Amino acid sequence: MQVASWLSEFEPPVQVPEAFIEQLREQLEATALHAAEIVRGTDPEQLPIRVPKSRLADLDCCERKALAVYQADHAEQSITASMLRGVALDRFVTYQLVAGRVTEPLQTCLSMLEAEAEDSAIAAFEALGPEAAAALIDPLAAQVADAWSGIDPAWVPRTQSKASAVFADGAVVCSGIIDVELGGPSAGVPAVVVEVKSGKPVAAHQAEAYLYGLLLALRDGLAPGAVARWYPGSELAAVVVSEGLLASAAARLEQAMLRWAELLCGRTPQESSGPWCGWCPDNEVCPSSRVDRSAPAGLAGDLEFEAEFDPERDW
Amino acid sequence: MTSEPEPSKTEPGKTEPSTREEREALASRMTERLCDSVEQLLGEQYRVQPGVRPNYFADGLVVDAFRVTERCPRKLAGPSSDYRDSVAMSRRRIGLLAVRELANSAGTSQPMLVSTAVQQVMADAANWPISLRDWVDSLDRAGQAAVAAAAITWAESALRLVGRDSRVKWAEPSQKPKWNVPGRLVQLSASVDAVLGGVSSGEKLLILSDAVPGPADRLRAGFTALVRTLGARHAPLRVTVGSPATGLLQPIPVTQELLELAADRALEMIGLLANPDSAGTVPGKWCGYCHLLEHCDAGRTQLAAGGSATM
Ligand code: SF4
Ligand code: SF4
Repeated sequence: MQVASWLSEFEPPVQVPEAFIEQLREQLEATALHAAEIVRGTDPEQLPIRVPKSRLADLDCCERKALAVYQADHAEQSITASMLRGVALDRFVTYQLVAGRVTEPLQTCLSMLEAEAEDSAIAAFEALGPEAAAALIDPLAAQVADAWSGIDPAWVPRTQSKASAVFADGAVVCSGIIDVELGGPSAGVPAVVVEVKSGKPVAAHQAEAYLYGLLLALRDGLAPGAVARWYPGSELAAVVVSEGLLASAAARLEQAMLRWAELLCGRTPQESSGPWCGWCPDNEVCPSSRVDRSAPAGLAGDLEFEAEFDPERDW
Repeated sequence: MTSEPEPSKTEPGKTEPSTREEREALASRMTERLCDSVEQLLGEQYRVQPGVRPNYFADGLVVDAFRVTERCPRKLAGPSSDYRDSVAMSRRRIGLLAVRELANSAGTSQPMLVSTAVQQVMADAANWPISLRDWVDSLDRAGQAAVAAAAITWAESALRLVGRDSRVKWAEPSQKPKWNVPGRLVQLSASVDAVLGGVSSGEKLLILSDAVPGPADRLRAGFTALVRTLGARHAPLRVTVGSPATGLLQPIPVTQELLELAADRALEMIGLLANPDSAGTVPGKWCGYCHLLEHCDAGRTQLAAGGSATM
């Protein structure tokens, strides 16, 4: 089903009470204070504790991997083909929402990246060569047009919209960038969050969408109506936002705050092997590594141009 | 944003600290203080030559708000990284033009959509700052779509935070608060996103931040208030730092103490910019994002010791 028809049929659920959102905020604040205390008492230089979605996902997989990713030099990380698919997909959805159907996929993607000054992604496309790049991303443009055309402008679609939460006077930060946000208080319709995914559906994606539901509820003081994921060629996978959904996202975030605080302070990380070992920076030295060399290489996550350190904030 | 109580008219002599006269007196004190301190600090450096039109960018020092929270003196005083137009550098300016367009259309039967306002603004760039217009003109349809999408997101998030309120005067992006130190090739420059109120009732300035709220906000708010105080010859009532990403608005009252804090920092920055060779290094996790890293031993040592550009 097209996103437009899904939206037109969307029945807003019973609104999550504001008092419930405030209760979650207080609970998160208490845990954040505790996490900040752990770090402040051992290694205050490590503040603020940052728990973005990628870190939560890493912690869900393997603590050692989460630390290894954090310590890796991001400048040296290569951009894989699957990351480039994600980069192109985000741009095509944006283009479709603002300017209509994408007719020249590769050129559209490169022009948008050029305007964004995203040189590393442009260089990665160039390294791939025009034919391979076109083969990689051309089919996405048609899938985007099928799914994302005809959205009523009253939903005021916003792309790459930020939703963050700060706790403990800024000592704990959870930042997110929502692929597509529709509706919301200023549009007079309940907000709907859509995460655009180029890879295969995995459980972590659902948890990410729930996290964004929570961040939006904390940001606006009003829960969104639904959180959804969209994979090219698939129907929108939407979940209505309920108290239970927000509570489970908050519990996951609290757990991540505490685990990450302990790891920053030197606790030995647990090793939990799984398919994620394949894209773990430590997979050649970790005794628990279980890399399937026959599996296709590549990172399943998104490429988000999101800095770990925020020069404006980290005074 | 709430309205301030009116000064008492029934008790002559007992005025609120926020009267127009007090705000003007505070501005005079700060102007005098800055002028005296710059005189001592710079001596014969950076004097305006009689009969020569000052060019602050080419020949002087421009102390901009975005550098106020820079922690490393060498980075602050060293050569700036090359400016490059991009979506990130233009979305605020186009977003501001769009919210101004919306404000102009307020009162019509059907409220204008943010996306429509952005489209209208992008279709008529006649009054834009020239450099912005030239850059957007140089983009193809896809590049312009990237700009429009980012401007829609910026404008919508600003309105979500502040609301559509006709009392809020959104800033014209090419008009930044500035103050030129009299007789000196030194300019202080800030940026404000919106203003509520006027000189007689007291101004409330709004600055919107892409970053989440943090300890740097007070200094940034203070510097913005200082530049406005000096340039307009009256102190604003307060500066509110808004964070659309978190939904938080942090009002910071403009007191003499806040302005003194900002003035101390402004003077420190002027001293460093005037004498960059004297600027020492303060390495830290920010080194990983410093454009001077390649030529900075302290920064490279820091990163090698820390093991990561992001730690
Ligand atoms: S190789 Fe696997 S088990 Fe070892 S740290 Fe990496 S993800 Fe964990
Ligand atoms: S690399 Fe670090 S220490 Fe060197 S100038 Fe930059 S911020 Fe300062």
